[in-house]
Amino acid sequence: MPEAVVSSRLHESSRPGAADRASAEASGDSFGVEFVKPATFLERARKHRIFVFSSVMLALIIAAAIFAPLIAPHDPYLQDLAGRMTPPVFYEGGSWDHILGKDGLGRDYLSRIIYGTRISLLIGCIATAVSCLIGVSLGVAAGYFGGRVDMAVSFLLMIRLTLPVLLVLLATAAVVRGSVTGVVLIMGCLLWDQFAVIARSTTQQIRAADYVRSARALGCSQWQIIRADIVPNILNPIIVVITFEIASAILLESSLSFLGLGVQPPFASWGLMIAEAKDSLFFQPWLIAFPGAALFVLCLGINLFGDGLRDLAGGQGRV
Amino acid sequence: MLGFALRRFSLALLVAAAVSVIAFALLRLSGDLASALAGAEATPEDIEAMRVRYGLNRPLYEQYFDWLNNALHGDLGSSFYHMEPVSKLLMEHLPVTLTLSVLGLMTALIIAVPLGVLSANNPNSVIDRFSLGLSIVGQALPNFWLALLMIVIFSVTLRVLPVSGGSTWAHYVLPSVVLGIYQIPPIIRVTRSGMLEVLEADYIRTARAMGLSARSVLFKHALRNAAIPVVALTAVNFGNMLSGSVLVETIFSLRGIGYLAYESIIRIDFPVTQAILLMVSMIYLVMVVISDILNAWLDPRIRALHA
Amino acid sequence: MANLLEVEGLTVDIAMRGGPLHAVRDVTLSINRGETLGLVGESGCGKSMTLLALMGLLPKRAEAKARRLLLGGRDLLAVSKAGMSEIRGSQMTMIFQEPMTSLNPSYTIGNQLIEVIRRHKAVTRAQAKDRAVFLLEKVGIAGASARLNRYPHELSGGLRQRVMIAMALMCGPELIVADEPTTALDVTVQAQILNLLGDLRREFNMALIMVTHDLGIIARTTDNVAVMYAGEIVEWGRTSEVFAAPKHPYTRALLDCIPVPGRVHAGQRLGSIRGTVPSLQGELSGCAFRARCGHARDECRSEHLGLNSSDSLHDFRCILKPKELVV
Repeated sequence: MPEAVVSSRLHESSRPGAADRASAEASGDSFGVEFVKPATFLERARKHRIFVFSSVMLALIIAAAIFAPLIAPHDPYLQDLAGRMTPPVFYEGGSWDHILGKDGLGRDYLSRIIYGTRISLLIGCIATAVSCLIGVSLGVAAGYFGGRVDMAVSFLLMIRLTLPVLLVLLATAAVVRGSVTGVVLIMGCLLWDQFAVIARSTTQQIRAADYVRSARALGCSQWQIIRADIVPNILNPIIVVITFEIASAILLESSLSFLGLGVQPPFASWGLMIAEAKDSLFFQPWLIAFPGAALFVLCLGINLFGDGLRDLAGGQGRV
Repeated sequence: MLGFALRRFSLALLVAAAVSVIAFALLRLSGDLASALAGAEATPEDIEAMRVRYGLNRPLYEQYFDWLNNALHGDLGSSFYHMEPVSKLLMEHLPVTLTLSVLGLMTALIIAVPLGVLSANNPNSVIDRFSLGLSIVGQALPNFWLALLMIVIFSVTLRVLPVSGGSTWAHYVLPSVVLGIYQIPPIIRVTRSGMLEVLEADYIRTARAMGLSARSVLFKHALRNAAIPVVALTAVNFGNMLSGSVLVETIFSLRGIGYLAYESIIRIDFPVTQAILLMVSMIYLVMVVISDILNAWLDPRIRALHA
Repeated sequence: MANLLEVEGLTVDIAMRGGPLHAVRDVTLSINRGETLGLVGESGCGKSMTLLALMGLLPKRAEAKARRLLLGGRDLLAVSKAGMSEIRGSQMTMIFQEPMTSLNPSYTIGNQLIEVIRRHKAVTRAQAKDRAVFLLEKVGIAGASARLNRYPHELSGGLRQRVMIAMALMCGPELIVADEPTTALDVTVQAQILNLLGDLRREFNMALIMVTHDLGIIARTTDNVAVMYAGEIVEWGRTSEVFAAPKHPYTRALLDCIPVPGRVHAGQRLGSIRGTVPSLQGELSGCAFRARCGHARDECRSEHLGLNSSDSLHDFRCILKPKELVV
């Protein structure tokens, strides 16, 4: 080979383009399998066993919360001091009338557990809604406008992360003692950090994308861009964060109620029920077993659901 | 390197200042402290007397700077309930919480890091599913419930460990484990995802191509580079554990900072509450600065950048 | 005399949704100490996969099979994972394309070099260090002793590739496989590295398999060449012969693409091969090149030829006789 030959690079080949595929298929001559159609969200969702399982679990719990007055066998606030500490049906002395027994004030435990779903879900969801609103607004603003706005939000974020959440929550809850609204609002004002972080980074990515730049070149206003381009595209990751934050908020509320600074008696918060049962730990262990198990099952369901959602929304494979 | 550290430090100071304002404002503004202090049956004169006695009638900013000034000189005021200097109380209660946090964190690291590494190396294997399962279960478990359950199992049924108090080392086992369990899921996840990313790197391919043993590839080459997010997480978690220890300490009757905080909140002993909020925040900030510096040092490229 | 490396009928299948991907469909080659074999082809033709299969470095979803795979008479298919990790780095080593990212940024180059030899041979730290210095000087790095304490990010791309080569030589291997070792480097550095590889090969009497898509490199550095297309070797033989008289339509088309100064005029269109590489997934039949071949016939759809016997010196996979290729 003459030395003068310019060494050339073979042109990079790409995967079969649509035109090649079409012509190959048209001539009835294709070398191998050409194209696999991606499945829709529902199709993939149905195959994801954990997602299906957790969805069913959550649906049942939510149904229990909504239809509590219909399915609870007794009034959860009705006291019966004569029959206090009746054990559950599978212990000696229990009866089918009160399947999970009665607590220290003679109230039917099963009914209280069922009504507890209302409190946990309500507080968890509303607190998360508030924090989502705050966090996403801050995050999108920081990610979209950048510069000083970003610096300010990042500073706020650092402050928020530095504050010990549980302690601040305890301190402020003590002040609004008894007011569930107060507790929910305070939780909402404290739990927005994950939303802000995710909203900010996602917005930054979207903002740098070409289609946003062309929208600006076309003269679209900031609001139009935020509404049309940014918000729809941050939905996916934000929804995943929402599920995990709800579980977080539920556990936080139960911790608060356990320490006596959250939901007050006679309401049936699971955390409060565990606190009330703390002293009977040794002789009536079922009193702490059931509410704790309820908390565990609910949070597990939510977390599994969120994990499944993240798998399905984020493409193939686990993170 | 020094410039980098200084910049981190000054940012931390700014945040610390902001936090001190919040810690202060939180309590002064949350209702009328004087009437809360005076009690339910107080007359207006009693409340007014309270106000004067504790200097609550002065303008807020004056109260703040007064407090800040004292705090910087080491005087955090006096506890209303214990009638003792707050700093003394803090120093008495801090060792317990520190011990718990360190033990808890060590437990979590010893369990979670190897699991994360092995899971990343064998995705979708038995050990990966086990780690993921442990992760999911650990995060859904209410830690105060877990604490009570463990008391029932280990102290009552098996009688292996004591129920409460803090006199012997055995008293620290259950609380540390409970505190640590909550840290395990995030550490597993961060280690696993960090390792997954690092294991795709070209230099890992080189290490394998040179025939290095799996242990060397994983723990010497990969983990060193994946450690950065784990270090950051651990430092942050340490700060969080101090506040999370409230539940554990109250259940196991350990006289730590968390217990002190809870007690002070119930008894409206706000000098103590304020001081604890401030102290925990400061510790968190210090941990963050340390972890930033540690991470910069771990990566020779960043180290060279700031040298 | 038996060859150092004997490969016969190597296939690599990757499990995927929609059917297995046949990344390597039938590769047969052999090489001896002191020889250089070039493996040339477009992106996606399976040449890198072939190397990875030889080294036992395939990703988890990929499976390699072969009728024969012998290194120094030893059946590599029968060796366990632990066994392969002992062979890699000591008997058989690999150099990769990206020198910028192929070294661990957290450890000094001395640390990484020493680790390789101490893993495979029982030497003291001092002996390992001496060997590292020796090889660094051999690959043309000045001030080798001091460089041992440097981190990879303190070296340029060309220097890093030299370090990689030194690392590959630490245990005195018999076979080096290089996957596009100069693609990521500047042209001037390319020439230096290629010359270096050639010199070292001669000095240590090693076998070198060079994978590249650059025909110029093949022409300059290799004794024998195997042209790969769509996972199989379509032509192989002595480099000088294949380049002078290519027998497979694909090889011909490749060579025709190279613009030759003097023969190409200003404004003339450069040659290219129309079409793209076909998908290698699922059931495959017939000749892989038929969609892009100017001489395709009906038989090409169904007939899939093997290479003729591996003793002949210049082989190709086509039903057409060389004479028929003349347009």
